Amino acid sequence: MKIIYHCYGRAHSSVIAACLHLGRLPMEGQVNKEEIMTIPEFDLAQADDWGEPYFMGRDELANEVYILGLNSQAPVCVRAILSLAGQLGQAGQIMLVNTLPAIGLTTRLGGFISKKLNRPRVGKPLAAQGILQSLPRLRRLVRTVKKEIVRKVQDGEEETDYYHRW
Amino acid sequence: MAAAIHLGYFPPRVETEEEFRFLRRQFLPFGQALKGAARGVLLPMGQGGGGEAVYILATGKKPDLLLKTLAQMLPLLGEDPSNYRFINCQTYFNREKSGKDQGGAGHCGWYNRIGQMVGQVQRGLL
Repeated sequence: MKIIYHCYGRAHSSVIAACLHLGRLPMEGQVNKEEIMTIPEFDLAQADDWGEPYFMGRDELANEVYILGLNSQAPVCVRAILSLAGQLGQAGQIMLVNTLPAIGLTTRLGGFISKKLNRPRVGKPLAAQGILQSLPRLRRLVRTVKKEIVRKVQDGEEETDYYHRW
Repeated sequence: MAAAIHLGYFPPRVETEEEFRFLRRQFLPFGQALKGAARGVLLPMGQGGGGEAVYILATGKKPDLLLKTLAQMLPLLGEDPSNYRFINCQTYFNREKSGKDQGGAGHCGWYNRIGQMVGQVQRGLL
């Protein structure tokens, strides 16, 4: 399965969610600002990268984890991706996860200063500070995603079993 | 309209306003503009003469990111992007407006420009 964490610019919240998913950041305990700031993909993507899925790695179940920036057009783009996957008979093989609701104003402001105003030395630490504040919500989101993956896999196995029996 | 011409429901060209009005009165699927929730949804329309699948897609006012995202997603879904053509009708019309108008004036001209565009798509020129 392919898990795509998407946000506005794929520079902050989606990067952290993918890192949590892949175990590059812990799901429990303290994380400090430096750990966030040293993630290579954090605060990296530019406007030209929007719309391009970026491969972050494989999780423990060999699912591929991607990040994607969809600017303010997430609803229409997500519908398009899912309808394309559906037309290709792969709707069950893709999971799109919006990470934006999990973050607060500080990260958004940091992202704006770093990317729109082109002041990464001010914006990046602010975005990292915001991420620390939002970490419980991002961890909750990733836990939900992992549960959903397990459920989907089990449903798939049951379906296959059902067809084999008949 | 472009999909209807591509699939052969409608002719690629009309000569008179009356012909155009006749075609407009036909109950074409999705002939009315698609509402917000339908934007981004690929709608299958049928198969062209060469066996190609034809879809329509309402993109809203900013189609670039949507079309780029779709094209970028194809390899992830195991598809070869070279097998797909995303034709932005609006871009074609804007370009034609600034260039030489070969379709004629009024509604017939508008319709005939769609026919020209479809012809180019079918010949692999777009």
